[in-house]
Amino acid sequence: MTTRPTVIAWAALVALSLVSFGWASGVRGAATAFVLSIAAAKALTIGWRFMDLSGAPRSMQWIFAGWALSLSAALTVWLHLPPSL
Amino acid sequence: VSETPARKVPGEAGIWVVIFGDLALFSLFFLTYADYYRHDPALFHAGQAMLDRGIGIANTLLLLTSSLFVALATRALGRPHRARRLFLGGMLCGLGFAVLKIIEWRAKLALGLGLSSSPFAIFYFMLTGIHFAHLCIGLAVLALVRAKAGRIAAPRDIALIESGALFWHLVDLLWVYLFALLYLVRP
Repeated sequence: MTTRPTVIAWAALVALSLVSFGWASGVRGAATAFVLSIAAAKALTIGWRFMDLSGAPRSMQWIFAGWALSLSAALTVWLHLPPSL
Repeated sequence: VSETPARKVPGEAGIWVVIFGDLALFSLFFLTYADYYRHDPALFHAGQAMLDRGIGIANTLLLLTSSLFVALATRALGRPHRARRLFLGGMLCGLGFAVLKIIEWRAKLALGLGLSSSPFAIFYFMLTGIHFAHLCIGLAVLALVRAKAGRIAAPRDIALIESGALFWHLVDLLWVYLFALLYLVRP
């Protein structure tokens, strides 16, 4: 099995981490949504490339992708709800 | 007629119960943290300001590199010496993470950020503490997996090694959200 896609995935993960680290000091609301979107992208990359979900059954792929995307979306919405709710 | 390759569950099926169970549990922790955060953002901002983002990003890069080594090791099981060296690289990066985390905890405690000082501190120590416990278990698993990589006798050995590697990637996966929530987001 070739190692190049794994190394490329790692480079992408490092780049995404540095971008989100740099953005975190930006505009607060936008930065939160952006940082949590990047977290979802990183989780999907780790799942697909490091945990080998790219060759796993579709049901596992859906559960994993559903978890990563719904968690980031729920956290973004939750953090922006007014305290009175 | 072209045949599509058979899809395969990586590792042992049982490890995925652990992984999805852990992800569900941590998701509840993260949502609880978000709920406390939105009720008292000023307090959480003050708590976040006490954290060292430099250590946070360094730990992120260490865990990502560790996961790279472990992923490459599972692809090199046909060459035991290379696989063992790669697993060792993964373990050393994991140990680096542990050392930095202990340094960070000591610095926070010296600054007066203790378990009882604020809700943010409780979340910070609880979440990073549980993650640290996962990291320690993961390091022990990697040591076992590394030993196994030198004497693979049956296909089941490969599945066991893959399962150990998957647990290590779970540690990395959890840190992705911990780093974002504790160090970066400021709604």
